[in-house]
Amino acid sequence: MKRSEIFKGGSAFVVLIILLEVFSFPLMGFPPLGSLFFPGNSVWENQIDLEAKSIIEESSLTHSVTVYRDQYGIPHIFGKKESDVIFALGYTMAQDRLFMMEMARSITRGNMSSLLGSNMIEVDKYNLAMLKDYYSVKTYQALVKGAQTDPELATILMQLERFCDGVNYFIEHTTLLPLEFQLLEISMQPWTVVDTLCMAKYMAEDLTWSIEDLYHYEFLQKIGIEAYNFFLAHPRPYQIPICPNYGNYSDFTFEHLNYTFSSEGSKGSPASNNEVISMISMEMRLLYKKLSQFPQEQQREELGSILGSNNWVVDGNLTASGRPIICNDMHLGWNLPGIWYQAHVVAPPLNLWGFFLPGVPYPLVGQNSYVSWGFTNTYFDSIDWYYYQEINSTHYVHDGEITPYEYIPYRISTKEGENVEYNIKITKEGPVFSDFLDNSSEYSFSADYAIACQWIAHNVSWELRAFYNYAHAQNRADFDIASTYFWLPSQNHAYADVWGNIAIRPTGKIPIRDTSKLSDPKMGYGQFPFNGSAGEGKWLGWLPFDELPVSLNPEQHYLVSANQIAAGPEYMTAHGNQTYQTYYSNGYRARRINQLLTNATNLTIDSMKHIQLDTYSIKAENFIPILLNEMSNLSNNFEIPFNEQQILQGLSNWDYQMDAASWEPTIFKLWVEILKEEIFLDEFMEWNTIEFIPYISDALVEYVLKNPRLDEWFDNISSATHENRQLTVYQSFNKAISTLQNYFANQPYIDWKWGSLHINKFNHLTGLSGFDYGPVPANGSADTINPSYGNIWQNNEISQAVSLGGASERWICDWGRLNESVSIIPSGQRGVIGSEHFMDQLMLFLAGDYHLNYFTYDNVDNFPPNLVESVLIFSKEAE
Amino acid sequence: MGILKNWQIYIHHPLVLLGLNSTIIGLLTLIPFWQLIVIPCLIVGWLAQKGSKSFFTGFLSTVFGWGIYYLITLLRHDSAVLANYFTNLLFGNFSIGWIILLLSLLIGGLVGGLSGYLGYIGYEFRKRMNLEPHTQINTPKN
Repeated sequence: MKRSEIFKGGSAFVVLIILLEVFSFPLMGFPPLGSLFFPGNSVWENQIDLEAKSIIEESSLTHSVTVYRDQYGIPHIFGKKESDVIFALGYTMAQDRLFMMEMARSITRGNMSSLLGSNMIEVDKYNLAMLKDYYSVKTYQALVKGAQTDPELATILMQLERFCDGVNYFIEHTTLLPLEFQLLEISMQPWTVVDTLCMAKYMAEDLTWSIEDLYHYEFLQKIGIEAYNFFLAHPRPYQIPICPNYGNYSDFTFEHLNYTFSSEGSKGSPASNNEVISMISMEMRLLYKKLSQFPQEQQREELGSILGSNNWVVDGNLTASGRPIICNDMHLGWNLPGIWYQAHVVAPPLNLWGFFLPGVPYPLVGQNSYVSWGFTNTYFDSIDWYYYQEINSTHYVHDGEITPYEYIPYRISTKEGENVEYNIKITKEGPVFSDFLDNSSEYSFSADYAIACQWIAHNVSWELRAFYNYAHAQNRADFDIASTYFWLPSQNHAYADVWGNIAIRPTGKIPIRDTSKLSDPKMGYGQFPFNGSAGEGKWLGWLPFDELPVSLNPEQHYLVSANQIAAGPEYMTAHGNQTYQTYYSNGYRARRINQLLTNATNLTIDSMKHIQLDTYSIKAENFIPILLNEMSNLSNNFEIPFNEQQILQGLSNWDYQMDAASWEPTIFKLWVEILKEEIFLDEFMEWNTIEFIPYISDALVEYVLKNPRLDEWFDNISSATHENRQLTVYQSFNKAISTLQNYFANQPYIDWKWGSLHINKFNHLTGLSGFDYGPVPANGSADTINPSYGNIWQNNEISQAVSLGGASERWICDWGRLNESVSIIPSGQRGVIGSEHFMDQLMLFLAGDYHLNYFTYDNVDNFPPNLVESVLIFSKEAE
Repeated sequence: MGILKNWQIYIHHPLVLLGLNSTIIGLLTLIPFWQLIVIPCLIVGWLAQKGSKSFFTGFLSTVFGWGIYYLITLLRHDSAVLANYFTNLLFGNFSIGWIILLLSLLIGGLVGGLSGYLGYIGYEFRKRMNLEPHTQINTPKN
C-alpha cells in the first residue's frame, strides 16, 4: 500500500469521524444538528398543515363528531353529546397547541427540570412553594369526592376526563411530537385532569401573584405614611368607577392627596413593633431582590404595566340593532402562539363560542345562545405576606405561641435523571419563602425572621365549575350562580344576554382580614406584610358574594371596565374605606371609553371596532393644553427658539392620536416622562428611592399640574432658587426637545416618528428569536384604548420602547346581529411553526381587521361548505 | 437469467452500485439513525475498487437517497417553510432556507463519499495483505 494512500485514508477517516461527531452531538445548546435536519424523524417530518379530510375511528364516543376548520383554522365542532365534542376539542387543542400546554402545566406544577434540566431546580422549587400543584391536586381530590354526591360535579369530572382522552389520543397516535419537542429533545407525558385544573392556578399567578408587598414595606419606611398615601393610597384621582351606582368621585375630597414634600415628615412604620422593623425591612428587601431573579418574576416585571384589559357592554337603547353589544379585549403578554384558542363547540342544545385557554375545555370568555361574558382584571388583593420570629429551623412564633412548621414533601426529577428531595415549609398562613435567601451566596443573610405568604390560590377552588356554568347559563340568575364559584383571578365580569340585560360585577374571592391587632385599620388592607408572630392580619373568611359591587341595567345604558376603581365612594364608605383592590389603572382608558359611549347612539359592530382600535390619548388632551398655556405665558426673560415655536404650533393642532407615523406623540410622551422626573426626582433622591419614579401614576402628575395647592412639588428642593410650575414645564419641554434633537441627529422634527421610538414585538414561546415576529412600529400607548406599552426615557437618555404585550384578543358580539359578530387574536389558531395559521390572524390584527365568528352556523348541515378548509371526522366504529 | 447468474461481474459496476446503494440509503431514512449510511457506503466503496469511483458512489448515492427523502417529506408535510425559519434562527435571514437543505445534502454526501473512500482503502489493504490477490473475483467461473 502506498504511503500516499495511507495518508489519504487516514485523513478521510479523521474527517469522517469529525463530521459524524459534529452532527451527532449537541452543539451550543442545540440538539444534534444531524438528528434535526438529516433523514429519520427530522424536523421536515412535522405535519405543518392539516390534511383536507381525515377520519379517526374511536369506539369510546357515543356518537360521531365532525370538526370543520374554517379559513383561519378555527375548529367548529359538531356532535350530539357534550362529552363527544369535548373529546374532539381536546384533540384539536393538542393538534394546535401541544407545546404551549406542556409549558403551562410544567411551570405551574414545578416540573420544568424534567424538560430543561437541573438548572431549573430552583425555579421548580419556587413554583412548588407557591402551592399551585399542591392545591390543584387537592382540588382534583375534592372534585372526585364531590362527584359521588353532586351530579353537576360528576358531569364536570366526566367531561374533563373526556377532554384528557382527546388530548392523549393525539399524543399517542401522532408519529412525531411538534418541532419544539424535537428542539428540546423531550417527550410528552399524558395530559391529566389535574393539569387542566392547574390552569386556573396558572392564570391566578399571571394576574394576582405579587411580591410587591415586600417592597412596599421598605418604601413606606423610607418616605413615611403621608407620602405613601399621596402616591399609593386609594382612591386615586380621576377614576370613573366600574359600577356607576355607588356615586362618583367628582365631588370627593382627596384629602390624602393634599400633601407636598416635607423633610419633617413622619418616617414611621405601620406596625406595632417598631424596634424590629428595620431588620425586617432589610430582610424583605433582600427577599424581594432574590425572588425578583426568578424568570417568571422578571417577566412579570417586564410586563408589569401591561396587565390590563377593556370590556364594555351597551344595552339596546344605544345600539342600531336594539339589542345589547358586548366588547372585550384582554391585554396580556404577546407570544407566538398567543394565549387564546378560539373554538366553536356545538352539542344541541349547547351552542358555545369563545376564547379557550389551551388545556381547558370551557371558554374563559365567550358566548352561548343566551348569554355572553367578557373579563378584565380587577386586582382585588389576593395575596398577603407575613413575617414571623423564628425560634429554630423547625419552630416559629405564631400569634404568641411557639409552633412547629409543617412540611409538604416533594421530589423533583430532572432531565438528567437526578432526583432532588424538596420539603415545602408551611406556617399556619402559608408557605415560607425566606428560605430562598439561604440558598444564595449573593444574598446570604442570617434570617431571624421567616417570611411566608397566604394567597387565595391556596385553597381548593372551583373556577372550572364556574366556567362550566357560564357555558351553560341561560339568564342572569344562572350566571350569578356560576359567578359564586369563581374564586380567582378576580375579574370584572361584563355581561350581556339575549333577553336584553347588561351587567358588570367585579368577581372573585376577597379575604376578610383580622385588623383588630393593628394600630391603623388602613394597614390591614393587605398592602403591607403582617406580623404573624403577633397574630396580625389573619384571614377570617371571605367577603360574601352579595357584597361584591355590581351594576345591572344602569340608567346610563352602558357599563365600562378598564381596570379602574371598582366602585364609587358609597361602596367604599360601606366597606371600611376600600374597594379591596391593591392596584388599579390610572384610568385614562376608562375615561376615553366613557367619553365615547356617553351620548352615543345607534352603535354597531363597526363603531365598536373603531373604539377598540382607538388610539386617542385622553392624557394628551389633558396635558398638552397645560404645556401650551404655560409656554405662551412665559415672561420675556425666556427665549423660545424658532423650531420650538413651530413644534408648539404643531402641538396645538394635534388631534391627540398616538399614531406611529406622527411626530407629536414622541414629543408628548417624552415630555411627560421628563416632566415627572423634574417634579419628583429631587424629593425621591432625598428619600433615597428614585427607582420608584417610573411607577408614579400619570394621573397623579395630572392632579399635581391642575391643583395649585400642590405647587410646592415643582420646587427643586436641592436648589436654592424657587422653581414654579411654569419653569418646570418650560425646562422639561426644553430638555425633551434638545434630547430628541440629539437622538435624531438633527433630522427635522416632523421626522421624529412615534413608531421609530415605539415598537411592538411578538416573541416565540421558546425564546428562539428566529421564530419571532417583528418589530413593527406601534400605534397607541399605555393610556389609549388600543394599547402598546413602554417608556422611552430611562437613565437620563432616550431608549426605544419595545412593547411585548397588548390586546391578546378582540371580540365584539351584537345580540341583534349574532351572525356579524367578530373577533381576532394577535397570532394564529395553530401554534405549529410554519403553518398557514401560525400568524395569519396577527397580520389581520396589525392591519386593524377582524374575522367573523360564524356562531350562528349551529349545526353541521348549515355550515357553508365554502368556509371549510379541512374536515376531521371522529367516527364511532359501530356506525 | 444471465445477468443474475453473473451478478459477481456486474456488482462492481459503478452504476449498479449507485442504484443499489441509493435504494439502501433511501430505505435507511425510515429509521432515525442517519449515521448508518456509513455501513453501505463502506461496502460499495470496497466493491467499487477504485478511489475516485468509491468516493463518488458513496457521495452520489447518499445525495440521491436523501434527495428523494427530502423531496417526498417536504411535499408530504408542507415543511419546506421550516427551512426558512431555521436560517432565520441561525443566520438571521428568512429567505435562504434552501441553504440548509443543500448543506444537508452536501454533508450527507461527504459522509457517504468518505465512507466509500475508506471502503476502497480497506479493499486495497486487504488486497496487499492477501498473497493471492482477488483476481478470481474478477474472473467469473462458469
